[in-house]
Amino acid sequence: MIRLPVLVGLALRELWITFRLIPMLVLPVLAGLVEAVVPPELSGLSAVGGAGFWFAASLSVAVAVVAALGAWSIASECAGGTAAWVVVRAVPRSTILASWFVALAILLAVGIGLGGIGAWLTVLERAETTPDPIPFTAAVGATLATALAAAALGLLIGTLLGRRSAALVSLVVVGAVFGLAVAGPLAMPPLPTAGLGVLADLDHASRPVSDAIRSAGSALAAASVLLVLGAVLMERRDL
Amino acid sequence: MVCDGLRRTVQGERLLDGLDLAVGVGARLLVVSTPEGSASFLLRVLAGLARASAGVVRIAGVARADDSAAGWARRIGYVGPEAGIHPWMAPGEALDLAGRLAGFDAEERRRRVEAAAEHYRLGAQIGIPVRRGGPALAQRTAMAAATIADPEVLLLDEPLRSLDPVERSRLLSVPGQRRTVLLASRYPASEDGLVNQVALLRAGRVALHISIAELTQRNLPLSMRGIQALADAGVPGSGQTPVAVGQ
Repeated sequence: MIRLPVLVGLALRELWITFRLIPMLVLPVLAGLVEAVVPPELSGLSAVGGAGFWFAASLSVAVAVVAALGAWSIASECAGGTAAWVVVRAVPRSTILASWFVALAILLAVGIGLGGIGAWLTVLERAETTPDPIPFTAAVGATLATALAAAALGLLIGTLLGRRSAALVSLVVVGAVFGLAVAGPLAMPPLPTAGLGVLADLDHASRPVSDAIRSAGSALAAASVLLVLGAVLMERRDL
Repeated sequence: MVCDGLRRTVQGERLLDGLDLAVGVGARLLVVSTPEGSASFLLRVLAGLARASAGVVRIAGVARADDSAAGWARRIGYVGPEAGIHPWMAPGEALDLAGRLAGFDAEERRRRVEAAAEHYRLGAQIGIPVRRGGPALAQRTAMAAATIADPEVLLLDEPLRSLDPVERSRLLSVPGQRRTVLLASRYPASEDGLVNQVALLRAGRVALHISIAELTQRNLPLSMRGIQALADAGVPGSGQTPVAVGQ
């Protein structure tokens, strides 16, 4: 396992040098700042509810882009021979996949964390009294878990398809699923996407913290299943 | 190294069809094939990059499944037609990474990187991205990275084609009496002097496996035509019996 940190560093460096890291990090941060430019009449019943909705809606786009770039990255590694260069050094293929997942998880955690802070600062500016931060924080945490599942899905698709198709399919699938979660149909706990639904509808959530925790658990389980499936598919393909 | 009953069909083409091959320790084996992709594919199976649908590969008596850094990472080196190195990476970084993945400590890595840089004449270009140095630099770096752990088995699939023939021969003459080298090539004549055995794969099986000395005794050149003529003549050496080392 000592080789995992080496490969995570390599993945982050590849993202940095190819400029893919910038949208992956910046889009989730910008998603947290959208509420600041939304007119007050479109801002929801409460400041927290408005910030949550616009953050969730913008994150749908940002996470779809991250998943697409993740799919592009792993497909490029496989097609370009760089994954083969590592596999020849007796690194298990599953470790390569895991290293890309960890790299994406780091970027999503930093991006969504900073985006969440940005959104909360907007809430503080708009709210008349200081609101309870716990439901918002729980919903953002659950959304991060959902984003990790989306990243795992992108990597799975990247092990199956060429880089352009993988990126396009990931963008469409993740964008559609996240869109449905924000709109409501996929927002019922304990669906893995429910965290995003809770964040998008904090004004009407009766049990936001427990729903967020249940959703986060199922999202992390879904991410694990997708990663295991991706590792199996990667083991079977020629490099 | 023993391949037993390897089979694989890719896009309707049967590249391996029950291939049996035994290669002794220290052998330098040239692998040529019709169709051309078979030899290359066999090396990719041996390197763990492609899967055979049936059959077993054993190297030094061990099935190819040891993922520990001190296992196959140090025992097998592979260089393919594509260098496989990130284009932004400098040769020094690639060699250091190869040393890390092989589990060497910092001091050992530094020593090995310096030795490889000197042998493969990377000195002046050790810090520039391989993209800027062109395919020749990428291929030298790939070869240096493959040998940095001093592997027992070296699998070379059409390597160093961008280099001039003299320099290519110098770099491919990797020393080591107990090192086994398998070299897949479409141009057997260009490998003269680098190998001591040759195997012809035909329709996914070993049609001929003889020593170069035997080829020379029959006044046949190391060429595709000469090798095929010998196989057509029904010369013994089907690959079932390993050719003795040193021939």
